[in-house]
Amino acid sequence: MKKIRVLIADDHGIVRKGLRLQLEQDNGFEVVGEAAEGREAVRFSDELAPDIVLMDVAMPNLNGIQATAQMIKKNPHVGVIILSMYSDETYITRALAAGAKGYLLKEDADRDLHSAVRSVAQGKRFFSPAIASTLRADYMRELQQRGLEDSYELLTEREKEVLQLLAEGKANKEVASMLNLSISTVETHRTRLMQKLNLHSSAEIVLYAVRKRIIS
Amino acid sequence: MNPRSSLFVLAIGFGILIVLIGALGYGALRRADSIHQEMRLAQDSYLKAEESRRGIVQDIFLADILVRDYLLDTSPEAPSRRNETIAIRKSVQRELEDLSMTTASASSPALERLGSEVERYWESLDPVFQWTAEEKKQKSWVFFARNVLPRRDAVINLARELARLNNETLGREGKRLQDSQRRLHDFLFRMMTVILGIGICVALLTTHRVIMLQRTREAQRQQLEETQNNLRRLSRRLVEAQEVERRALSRELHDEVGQMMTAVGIELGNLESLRGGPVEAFRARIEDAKRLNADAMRALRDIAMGLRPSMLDDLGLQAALEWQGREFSRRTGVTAVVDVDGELDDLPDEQRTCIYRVVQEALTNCARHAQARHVNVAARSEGGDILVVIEDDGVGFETASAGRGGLGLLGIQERVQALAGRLNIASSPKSGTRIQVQIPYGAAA
Repeated sequence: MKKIRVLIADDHGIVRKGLRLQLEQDNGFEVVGEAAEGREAVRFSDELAPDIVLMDVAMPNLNGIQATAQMIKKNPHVGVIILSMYSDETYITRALAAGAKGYLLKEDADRDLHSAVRSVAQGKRFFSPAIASTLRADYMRELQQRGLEDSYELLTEREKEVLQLLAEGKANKEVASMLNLSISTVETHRTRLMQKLNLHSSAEIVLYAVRKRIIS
Repeated sequence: MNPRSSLFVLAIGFGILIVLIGALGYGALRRADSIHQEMRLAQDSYLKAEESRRGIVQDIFLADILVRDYLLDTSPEAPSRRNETIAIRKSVQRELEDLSMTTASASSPALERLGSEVERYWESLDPVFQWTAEEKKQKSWVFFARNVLPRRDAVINLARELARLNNETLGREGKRLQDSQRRLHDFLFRMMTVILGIGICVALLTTHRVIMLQRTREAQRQQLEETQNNLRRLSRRLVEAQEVERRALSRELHDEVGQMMTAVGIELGNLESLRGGPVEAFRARIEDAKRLNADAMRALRDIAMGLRPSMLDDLGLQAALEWQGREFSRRTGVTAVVDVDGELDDLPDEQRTCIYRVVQEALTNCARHAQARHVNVAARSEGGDILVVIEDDGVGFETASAGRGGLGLLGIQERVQALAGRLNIASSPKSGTRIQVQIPYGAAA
């Protein structure tokens, strides 16, 4: 089986070393490079063409979110997993908007690292389980404060399906072929479900899905 | 009246006063000089006229005597006297001319008559000098009495008349000069009144201004004193606050992180002693150690976030404020709506931090005192400024007492002022609190 090629970007050597050790315990992973700051990470991603980039947020010169956006622009297929201490949606929305596929909390890294890398390498998304509960708690509180109800149950079964596939990172075209629908129908479903759930971007769709544990 | 315009009025007042005093002095001197000159002229002309008139009378008497002498001397070798009379006649003629030059027009008819009378007098004398000694004896007295004496009397009378006219002229001149002097006096009096009036106004204005200046200075002094007091209070409170914060931080680090790290250490020690022991127990210890480590990380993260959120540097102002709003909601249960313009992410660090701290302080105050149900936080650029507004629907407070009470508000004020901004707090016990901060866009301190 082909090894999953991983680039590690973190400004702390000890963290890079720890991550490398953890990954190398499994023969399925190969660490192809280590970058100590954002710009280096972008350059290495260009030169080494890794499958997965483990990206710290706080880095000198270019932070992880900005570096992610630049990488994705050059190579949309690279799977970036953000490594962060924060489970707040502010970070997660920005990471998703920049094009990250996974969001891994540092405190859970030792447990979830392998499954995160593997999921994202398979084209899925990955979020640390703790994130879902934080997001969910925030979301429930916000709904309550505004006197709103969760409108998930207002979605049709088809819309729920579309929501899940979109949240998993599938493009409209892929969703259309998977569900045997035309692309314009998928677009209509997408627009309607976004209206019903009061969502405004792809990142918010993913966030919503994580919150509802539709994806994990 | 504002200070600048009152200064302007004062300057004008003083200017007018000085010009008036100068003009008055100069005018008065000029007028007095000219009156004096005219007086001397009038006197001179009177004296000259009088002198000429007296000369004429004297000469007529002299001629009279001469003619008498001539008529009385009946000896054949008596001198003719004619030439002497001619000399006198010339002298009279000169004096008449002098007189006509000095006499006022009012007396000129009298002068003309005098001239013709004198002429007739001379004419009446003329035949006498042709007479022989015999003729003198026979006719002289009769001729004298009939022809010469009346002429002479007429001349003398006219000369007297002239003297009277001359006196009158002098009197008139004197009166005119007196009028002139009175007018000068009136003029001086009026000018003095005006100058005195303006002087009083200027003096009043000056006094007023001096009093105002004193008051302003006194107010400034008080303000300065108050500012200094505030500053002293602020620095004392800052020192206290720093101490409190350090104590809290130390306790958090020691009690939470320290305890957990100690526990991790103990777990590691346990692991060591478990080497070679049952695998299940070993695994459980490792899980415990990892959990403790994760807890310590979380505690550290919270402490670090409280000190300065890395989000402000990683994601910018918009994200940091949104996070803060959510944190606030999480902690207090108060709804926080945050609406921040994404453009503001490009602000210089100083301004981002300032705005972040302002919002943080406002939310802290709100959580402590306001008993609010909703908070709105809005930040956007408007004109050349960044406008930050934090409003709640809580109980509000008296803004007057706020400056003395909260170190937080003072701190905000300091931060905002350092960036040349304005802080505006509107609050009343009923309508909640509205804190507005306006900072010039992109201006450094």
